[in-house]
Amino acid sequence: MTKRLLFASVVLLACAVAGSAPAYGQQAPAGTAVQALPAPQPKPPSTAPAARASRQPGRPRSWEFGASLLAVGPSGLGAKTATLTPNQTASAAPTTYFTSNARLRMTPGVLVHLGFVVTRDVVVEGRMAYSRPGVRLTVGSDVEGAAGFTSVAERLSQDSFDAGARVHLARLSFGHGRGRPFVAGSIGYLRQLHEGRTVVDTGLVYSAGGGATYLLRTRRVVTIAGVAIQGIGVRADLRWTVVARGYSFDGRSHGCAVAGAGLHLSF
Amino acid sequence: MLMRRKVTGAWALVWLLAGVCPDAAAYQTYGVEIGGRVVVLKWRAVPVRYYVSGQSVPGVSAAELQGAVQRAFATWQGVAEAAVAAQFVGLTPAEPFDDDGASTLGFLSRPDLDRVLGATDFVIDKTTGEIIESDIFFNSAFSWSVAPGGETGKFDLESIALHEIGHFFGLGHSALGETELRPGGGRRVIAAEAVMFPIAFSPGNTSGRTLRADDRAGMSELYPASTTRQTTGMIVGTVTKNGQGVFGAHVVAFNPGTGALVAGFTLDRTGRFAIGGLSPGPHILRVEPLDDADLDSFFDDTSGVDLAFLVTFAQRFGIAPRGGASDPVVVHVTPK
Repeated sequence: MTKRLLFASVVLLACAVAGSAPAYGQQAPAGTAVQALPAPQPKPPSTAPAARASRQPGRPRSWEFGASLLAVGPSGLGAKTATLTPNQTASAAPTTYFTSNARLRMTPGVLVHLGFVVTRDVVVEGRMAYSRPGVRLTVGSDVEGAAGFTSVAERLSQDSFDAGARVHLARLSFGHGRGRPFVAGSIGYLRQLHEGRTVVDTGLVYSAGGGATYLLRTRRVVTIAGVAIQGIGVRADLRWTVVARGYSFDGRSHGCAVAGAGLHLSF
Repeated sequence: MLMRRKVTGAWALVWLLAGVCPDAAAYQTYGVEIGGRVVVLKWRAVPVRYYVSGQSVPGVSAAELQGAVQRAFATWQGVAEAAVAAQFVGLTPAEPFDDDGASTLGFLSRPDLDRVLGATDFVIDKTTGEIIESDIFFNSAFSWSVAPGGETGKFDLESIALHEIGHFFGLGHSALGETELRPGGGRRVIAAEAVMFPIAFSPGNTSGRTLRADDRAGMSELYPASTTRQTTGMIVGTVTKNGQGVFGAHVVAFNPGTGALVAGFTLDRTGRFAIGGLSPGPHILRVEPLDDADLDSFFDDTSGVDLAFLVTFAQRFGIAPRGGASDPVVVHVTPK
């Protein structure tokens, strides 16, 4: 629009100087004074594609923050048999005093994460999770025939801190690009505080799995402390988590499924 | 003022430390009543000096006796959590239980003690509870062996020496074992998990040469190394039956992470117990009546020891903290 107005002004001005009318317009009556049109005013900024891209959620070098509710699946802690030395030759098998095994019960938890978008499809993130699983203990095979039992022997306070990456699978996007599946993995540190808060076990935690994010809103939502929240979305994922060197009866690694669902903010 | 007290392998005279000091009650030890309070018997100065009698018996020379005794002392000295030490002074013509001011280990012929493999006695300072002298005899009425793999029909000398030297340092008996009645009377060990169990393994068995977690815990409680109190923990609690405390119950703490079994007793009529020298962490607690050995192997006064209840497990862990005691655990047992 702007360019055409300028051209018409130039042509009219030229004709006024030259004394002839433009080829595509009426001739001005002889002797009519031709006034120069005012210079076109610059247009105000609009939602041009370049401007939208600079604030789009999930753009490279942007940040995201989220919180999720977790369902931490049950996990075995192994078994251990209490034994007595038999009054036989040295090669005799130990005498069972009683058997024991334990599991962490399924429990809810919470997780928060902070992510940095490296590329459109790759996000590195740090996560912190907390849960309080009960330890289900089963004792049996007592040497004197005492009744076996199963009980919740204690409740652990369990928190983990891990870091990893999330890779979105662009070709599987859905919902006009708002829905973006991903695969993810992480490694971190686990702390398990026993009941009474006097004894702690620590270990490593590894996880791998996948999920999807879905952007609910992509326009600026709110500005908090000078930081503009550019988008709100939901996220769900399912991972297999392995704990190594943490609390266990048998000194082995143990795994469980962890599902999470929550909100995340892009800014 | 000195006093002589005798402790034998089958009849152990034990003074309980009930209610005096919960920490000291963590393991069965010997005590003497002084001025209305009970003082733990223990050596005040280490290394403890000892002699070995020069007498030999069939199958074991004086030198072999010396070697077995030295290995047994070294085994106790190898407990990292305990600060015990002994020094062999030399062979002596004296016999054990001579009132000669020297701690002597050797053979004595005591066919009258037909169920006593060995015995330990003390001379103590009655004003302080300090052990002044302790002698050990091995009953030569039995057949003995020092063979590395044991010998059929002969009791392993090093195993019995290890047990008696536990008494020598002041440890009482452990009840961590299972027995069965013998047709001709007495009991036979089925299995045990403490060198300080009052009944020995059968002839030819050398398993008693190796200390168990219960033995190490007991010695570390009596003679703690400099860091032991900071690195180990204790589980405390009570055993009740029909709302009343149970006296003389055997309480076993099992650490499923390490497989260690460490035990103690309820030492008063409120049913209180304290098991120390534990690795920090959760423990499964098992409570049973003391029905696997003669009661006088554990208590001087056996009246009031309650045997009329069923073996019971605590439903929740006892969690031993590092350098401290657990929250009290209450175990309710069911009457038989």
